[in-house]
Amino acid sequence: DDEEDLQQRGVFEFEFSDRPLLPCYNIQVSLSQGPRNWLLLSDVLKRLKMSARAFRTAFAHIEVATIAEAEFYKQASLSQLFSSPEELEGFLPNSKELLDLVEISGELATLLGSSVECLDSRWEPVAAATS
Amino acid sequence: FDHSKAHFYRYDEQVSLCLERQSSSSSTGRDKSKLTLRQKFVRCSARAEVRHLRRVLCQRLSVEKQQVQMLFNNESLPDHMTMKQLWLLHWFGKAQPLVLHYTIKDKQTR
Repeated sequence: DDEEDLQQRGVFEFEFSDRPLLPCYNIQVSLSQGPRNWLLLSDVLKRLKMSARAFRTAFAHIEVATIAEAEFYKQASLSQLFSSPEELEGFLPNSKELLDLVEISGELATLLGSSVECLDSRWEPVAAATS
Repeated sequence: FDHSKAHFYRYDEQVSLCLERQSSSSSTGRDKSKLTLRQKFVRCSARAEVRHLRRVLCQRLSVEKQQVQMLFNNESLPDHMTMKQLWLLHWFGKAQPLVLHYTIKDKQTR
């Protein structure tokens, strides 16, 4: 795990897709960890053409987090990147309904047909010095 | 509460981009497809800079860094501008993805 941390610390990840990417929300779902990047499970299921049950069976190791829609809306609407009125228009600010979220990961990106390119943020000066 | 990983780029807000090639009329058909991203929709940290994007494009298209130029509205973007700055300057209030253009200069004419 420590080795993985070391690898991830200074690394930019670029996800590439030939289809428009699903909306990604930077949300803190629990008090024990900071904000993470999540996709709506419903968006993922639509793209994969899978039922929730089939997804949970096939990918039992992928954690599904739950958040109240009102809390989700509150956090998502604070983002300056969601400044367009149409981005969050499907959500209800006062709803007590629960939303299912899945965290973005390399595995999920691959499942959705994306490819991920990684770039060490220190690579540029290192590369420039040796070229 | 564990703050030790909070600075990781992977936990940053992510921006959604669409990278369109602005091609020169001199490119041949074969070069055009070779030097055009097949996967043009990109997601990355809001802290990523234009220079990182250029570098990644070089990896993807197997060209040299000096050949790639990033543009918004026909204007070249400075290397150290972050995606967040770019978004707030040029895309605030608009829906995702932010549309950027790139050009690939001919290697021989540099």
